[in-house]
Amino acid sequence: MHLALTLVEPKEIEAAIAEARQALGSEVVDILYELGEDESGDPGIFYRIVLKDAYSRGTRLGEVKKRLRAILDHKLDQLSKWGVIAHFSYRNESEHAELRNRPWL
Amino acid sequence: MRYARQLLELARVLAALDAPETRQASLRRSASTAYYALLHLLISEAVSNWSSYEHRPALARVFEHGKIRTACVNARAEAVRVTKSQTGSSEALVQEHLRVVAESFLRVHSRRELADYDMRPEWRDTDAWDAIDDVSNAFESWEAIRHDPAAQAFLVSLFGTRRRAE
Repeated sequence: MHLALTLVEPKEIEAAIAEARQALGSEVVDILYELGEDESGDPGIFYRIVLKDAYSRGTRLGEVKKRLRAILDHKLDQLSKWGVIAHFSYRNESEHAELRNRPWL
Repeated sequence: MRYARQLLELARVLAALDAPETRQASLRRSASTAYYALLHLLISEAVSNWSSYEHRPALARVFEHGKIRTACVNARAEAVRVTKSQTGSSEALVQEHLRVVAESFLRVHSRRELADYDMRPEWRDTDAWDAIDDVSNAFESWEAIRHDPAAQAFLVSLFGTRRRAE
């Protein structure tokens, strides 16, 4: 595992995710995450966001993404200082119900 | 820039083409087209500085996907550094927009690789619309800063210029 990832405290991530879920309310169904390395070998935190169907395209998708990133980037500021890059993937509720355990992009 | 905007509009058409059904071809092509919209935006902005109009197409062919990606990795790192150390300054604001452009490129570059070359993941509407949203944001941010010296320096970095030895 990349050294930077060993510095990450899961409790801090979970607290930030809880805050994001509260702030975004019913727009977000679930926020999952994994720590790992991206295709270049750089350390990353991979967020998997499940949204309500109505928020999965157009300006609504854009606004949810901005708000989510603002909260998570702010609360987990330390991660970027360590070189851990945040990656986001999104599904809406219907897509997630269909794809369930199949790999995210 | 007009061609780049047409590509972004085409990406939207492709994403919506089969709704409510999903077809892998349309969704993957949509994400790939969104990537090319941003790629061509950046390239056209860079070559527009070349005064000899007839030579711009040849100059545009010099650009390489990998070198642009590397330039965006560097630009993002610099943007993060400046926005954190000079919060609220006009330079930080420009760098924030550059960060949006660079990060959007990195995300859609990665998505395009999956869309065009990896048949394993199953694409859904949200995947395509996410890529379109990233590129739309990049277009907006670029419009806000395109004449700024930092933005122009970023365009030069897309060539993959080396630093001179100190």
